Amino acid sequence: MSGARVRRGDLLDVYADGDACAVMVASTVVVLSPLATAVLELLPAGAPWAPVSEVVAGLVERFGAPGDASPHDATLGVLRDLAVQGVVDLDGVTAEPTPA
Amino acid sequence: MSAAADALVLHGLGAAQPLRVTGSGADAALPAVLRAWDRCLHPAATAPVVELEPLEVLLGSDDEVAAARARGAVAGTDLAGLMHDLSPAVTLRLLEARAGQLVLLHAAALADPTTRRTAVLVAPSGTGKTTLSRTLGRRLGYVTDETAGVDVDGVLAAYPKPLSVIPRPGEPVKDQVSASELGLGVAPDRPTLAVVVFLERADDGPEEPEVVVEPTLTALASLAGQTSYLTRVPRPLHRVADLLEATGGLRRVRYRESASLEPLLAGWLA
Repeated sequence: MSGARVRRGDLLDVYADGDACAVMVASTVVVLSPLATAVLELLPAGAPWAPVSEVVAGLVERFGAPGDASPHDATLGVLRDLAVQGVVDLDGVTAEPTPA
Repeated sequence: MSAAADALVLHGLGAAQPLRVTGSGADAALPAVLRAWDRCLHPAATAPVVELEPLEVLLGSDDEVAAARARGAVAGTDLAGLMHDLSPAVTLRLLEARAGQLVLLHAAALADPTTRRTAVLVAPSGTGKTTLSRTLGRRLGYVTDETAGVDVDGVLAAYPKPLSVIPRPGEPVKDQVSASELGLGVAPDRPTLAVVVFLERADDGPEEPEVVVEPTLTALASLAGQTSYLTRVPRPLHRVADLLEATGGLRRVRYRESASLEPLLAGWLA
């Protein structure tokens, strides 16, 4: 999992309102939570692939560590959800969480 | 083929669509088109005009229709069917002409003829836009029952197309009836966006309409599915958000009968 990386998807527009935002992916609009919005802020438009570990660190810095899961697993869950909707591109990560 | 047929131009959404009415049935088709589309025969006073390539409209025999369709015409062997097919064909061409320039919402739009303040009433196809236009358009100016095109200044490019009316219950082909024939008011010049409403009509909806102002972020998601060519508009979410912010946000209205909306619109458009 150490090679896992992520970048911002091909977003047509991002409209921020407070700590949340709406993004346009193809012809669909997705409303993002403050946590998902923070992920997007860590992945600027046009920036190259970033290690997932950087996003984990950025979210922990902003929101603190999650109480009920590892920061890495929690971040991957968010990134997978965003990848399904085309908000981010995810590479080097299995599509579904590995069964325990 | 008369000279008048060649001169026929339909105006809507700030674009002009010339029609060439042809075929052995042209003498019947031409007056029907002129009557149904009478509100679209003149350009809006101040709207910019995009001129489209002529569209052939043919009424004739099976052989004529087959040949005409092969060359891209809207064609039919019966007048009602031809008129039914013409409306979406013209709409599609007008939409494509203004794609990227206007925010194009699947909506009816009605304007106060004095204030020019205009309500854009967004609703998916088949959920009451035409009924609403027929009911409320007798006291207001009929801007469209199909697509509201809004420019960057919040001014609408009118598209007062014929309304699709079911002649008898169960009839598969709707009649295309002019707004004039239905007694609807004439749209003022430069109708100006005053309110954007998302309609939710239900048989068990409230007798008194219920209005909720939707937050901008979720409003963007609600409206995106009721637009055409939004991806071609520069910074599309900002453009729609600006329209919503300028008009007090998207109003989501639950209602049962279209007539019950009249006082609401009167208040918003005064």
